[in-house]
Amino acid sequence: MAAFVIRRLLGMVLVLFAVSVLVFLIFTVIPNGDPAYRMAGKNVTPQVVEQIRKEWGFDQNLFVQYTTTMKKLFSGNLISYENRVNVVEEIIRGLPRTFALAIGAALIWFVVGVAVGLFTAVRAGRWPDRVVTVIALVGISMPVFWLGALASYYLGYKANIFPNGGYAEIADEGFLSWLHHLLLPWLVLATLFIGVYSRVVRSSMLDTINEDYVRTARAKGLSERRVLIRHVLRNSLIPVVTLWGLDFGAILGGGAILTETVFDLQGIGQYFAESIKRLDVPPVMAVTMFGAFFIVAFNTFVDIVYALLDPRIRLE
Amino acid sequence: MSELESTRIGGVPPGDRARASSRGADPSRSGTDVLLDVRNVKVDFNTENGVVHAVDDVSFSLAPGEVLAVVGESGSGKSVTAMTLMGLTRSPNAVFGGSARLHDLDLISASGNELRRVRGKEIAMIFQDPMTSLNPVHRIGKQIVEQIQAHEDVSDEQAMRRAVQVLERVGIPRAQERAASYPHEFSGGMRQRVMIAMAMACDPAILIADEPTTALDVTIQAQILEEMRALRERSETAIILVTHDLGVVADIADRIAVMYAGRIVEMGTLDEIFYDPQHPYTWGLLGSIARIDRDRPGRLPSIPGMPPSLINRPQGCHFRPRCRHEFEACPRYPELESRLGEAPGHHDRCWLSAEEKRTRRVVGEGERDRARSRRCGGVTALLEVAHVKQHFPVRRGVFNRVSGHVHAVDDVSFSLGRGETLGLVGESGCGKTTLSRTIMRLLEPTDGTIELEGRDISHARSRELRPLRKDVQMVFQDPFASLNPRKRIVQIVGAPLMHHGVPRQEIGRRTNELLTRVGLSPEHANRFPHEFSGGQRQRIGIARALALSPKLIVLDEPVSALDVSIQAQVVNLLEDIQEELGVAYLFVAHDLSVVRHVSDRIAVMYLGRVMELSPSEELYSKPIHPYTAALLSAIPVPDPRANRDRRRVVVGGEPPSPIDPPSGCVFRTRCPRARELCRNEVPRLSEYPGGHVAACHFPLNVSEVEVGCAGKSPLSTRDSGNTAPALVEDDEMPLDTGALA
Repeated sequence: MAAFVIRRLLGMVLVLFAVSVLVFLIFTVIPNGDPAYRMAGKNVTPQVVEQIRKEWGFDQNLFVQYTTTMKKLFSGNLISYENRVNVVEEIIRGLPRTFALAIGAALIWFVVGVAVGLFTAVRAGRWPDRVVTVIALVGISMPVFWLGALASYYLGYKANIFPNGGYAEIADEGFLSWLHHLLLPWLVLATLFIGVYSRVVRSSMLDTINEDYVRTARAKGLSERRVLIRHVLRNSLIPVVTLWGLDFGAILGGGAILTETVFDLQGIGQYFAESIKRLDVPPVMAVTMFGAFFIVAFNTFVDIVYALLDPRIRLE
Repeated sequence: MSELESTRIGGVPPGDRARASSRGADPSRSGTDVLLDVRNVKVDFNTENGVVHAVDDVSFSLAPGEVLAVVGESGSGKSVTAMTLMGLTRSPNAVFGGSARLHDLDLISASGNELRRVRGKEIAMIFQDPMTSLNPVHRIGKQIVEQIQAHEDVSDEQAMRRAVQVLERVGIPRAQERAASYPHEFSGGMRQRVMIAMAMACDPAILIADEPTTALDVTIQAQILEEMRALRERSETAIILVTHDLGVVADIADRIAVMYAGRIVEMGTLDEIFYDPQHPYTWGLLGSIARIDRDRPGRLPSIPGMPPSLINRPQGCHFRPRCRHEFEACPRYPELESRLGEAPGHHDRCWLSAEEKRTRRVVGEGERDRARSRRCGGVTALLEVAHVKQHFPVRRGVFNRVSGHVHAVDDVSFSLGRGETLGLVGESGCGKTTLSRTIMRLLEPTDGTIELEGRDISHARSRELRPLRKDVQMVFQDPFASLNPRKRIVQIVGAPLMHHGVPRQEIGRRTNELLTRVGLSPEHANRFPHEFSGGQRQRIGIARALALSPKLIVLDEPVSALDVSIQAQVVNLLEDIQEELGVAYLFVAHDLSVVRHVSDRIAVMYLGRVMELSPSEELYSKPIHPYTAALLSAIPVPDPRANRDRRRVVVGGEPPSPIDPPSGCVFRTRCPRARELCRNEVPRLSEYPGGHVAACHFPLNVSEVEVGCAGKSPLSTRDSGNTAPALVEDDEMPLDTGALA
């Protein structure tokens, strides 16, 4: 176990390094990528551009540029090219927003997804299963930006039941307002995942129901409910939990770009999207590293949980 | 003890049972001593293709403490019958008929809740595969506690105490501690003990055992059968034993019901069925088994054809299409009734009169005129295997360092002549499959040499191996998994030809020839594997192996997945092919009976090493190595009287881990003859009179003088008698010297 975690941590360092090099190179080779021109604004003399270049170190070779960027990033002094604010501070500002969105939505989609999956698995092949299956497929097929825009327009702008986007700090506006602002983004983001998860839970349960040990459980005279929960669901959740950990890690790392943007939550995902639009290298680098960290960390975490859930798995 | 039991149960109260009155009910006993009364049970499954009549008109009764064996081949309805009693076949597509009364409850019509109270409490069940029948994520103590608490209102601690008690009772060592283990930490045999413990936790009146030993090795099977016998003695539990293995039946059953195509075709006491079988199907079944206690007949008698479809069953007697004795009465449906005046408890479904049956009956008579002589060594060697080792690294730690090796195959030497059959037997994990893969050069040996026709192929590269593949082919164990379901038969059988550059037109012609050779029709060439039965698929696998006219075919458990009547057909086919083409076989199997039937010589493996290699008749009549003797005596023979007389050696314990094999002789931890010398010195392979070669310090069936002049086997050219490092810590199992029964 310890050896496993150490190996994974070493692996994580490698992944982060590779990701950072890749992102850095991409942004130096794309056309119109010279940051000095964009920072100098319109109608400038070559001298000004040259001066900016010197000032920001763009005249140095790529290796030096890369190392200084990384040094600044890890010491918390990385400044964005466009609006010249501290990138790390921006990320820290967006952190609670993104986390609130991710944790809430992930809980909702897990609980509802498992419940719907259980329901359809028990009624597999009969009409409730078919109806729910169609609904789940509709849910999967609805893009977040479309569903989010509709929800925000009709429930927020038109009906005025929910606020029309934005985020409320608990400290400033209280818990209820915070909840009120987040409810719609949670549901919209969870909708997509509920569809997927209910299908995964359903098929996993239908596989497990045919296992010999489920037959044994029935032969023991257990109630059908106990057979389903302790023997079928417990075993079918193993793959689902791993899937959930990976998705959750991605969303925590700023992966809910569309939801954050549609509801104007000003989280890390939205910050990332805006930075890409401006070809602003420092924040893109930083958020990418941030996201990669969460994805790798949750991968490791998921493997550990997997071993806890399934005693046959040994981490080596 | 089974003698005692069967006389008790066999003593059917003489009654004046008229044929008419006994219809339906189990006629073999009066209603007084009946625990379970099954009448006319019928199970139909509605499927897309039609109604499957899985069980039809099944009636029997069960007395307390009785062991009723239900035998039949796959699809005969024996498992469905057993599971229906537990309500485990209930589904929206199943339709049930008849009744099964246990006390005052009819198990067939009982509600789900009524049935649930009986399950596990009154009737418990153990299943075929102990590896998958326990939930892998719960501790075994917990799983037994769950069983107890489902029926009794007891505290967690009390239930756990009882769980530990039942675990102790079925022979789990350190039960208190082991109750906290997960199923995967147990071996197959131990898991089956856990299953038995769980089933017995609530002291049920009936135990249904569905092929309880089929997935286990013979020495472990003997232990489990012993356990079931003890259980019956202890608690008067009645057992319904569902099995296809007539050896097991002869070992433990009191009465037998033979099922065919969903119906019981014959029912009687153990001796009645084995020594006076009435139904032609029973004759065929008893005849098709290869026996370890008999010399082989030239061919195994087999039942022609295949079991019928359960959707469109033949009218009247279902066995009619495969029966040699069909006559005008057969299209009518025969009732299960007594047709013998002197044995009113013995019932069958055959229209033949008792006299006709006795004159026509042929059981186990092969066509002796076809018996062939054994070819033993002598002939030119085709394959020479010398000191082959196959070790797999075990990795650990941050940097995946190699922390040990699995000694899958350790210093194995033998030679195989042209046209010879060498049997390779041993329990699971003994390395027989790894060895056969190494010989196929699917694995590269860690050490040692493999020579095929004098060419050293031990480390040949894949390009060099390609032409050699023509000479060595393989037939796999599972005919369902080893054929690509998306390829047509012509593609499967023709693939080796195509890869070796045979022109296209030629392939079609050759494929047809091959299919005809293995007893299939060339019209089958365009079908897919799923359209064939298990036996037919194995024929396809054999045809594929034959395509390149190999000199050696490695047969990896080729018949173990097949029913006995089909096994006999395939074994006969293999022998015919060998006779005709002179191909050599390496026959890998755990079933010593079949191996005896086909092999010229047999190598017995244990924990990666060859323990004994002897001509097959010699090996069975005069085993030299104690392991061989133990293996042979663990197999129950399908002959109740012989079984009772046979001296049985039950070997305790289980094979040790191949990662850290015992010092000296690897078998010493389970060997009844082991002494100090066995711990310190690896016994070398030595030759004994009669062509035996064995590696044992204290051989059986050999006089002192013979031991003294035993020549070192030419097979072990390198000295394998290297002494093990001096006595290491004494963590080995105590020598079980008392195990010799």
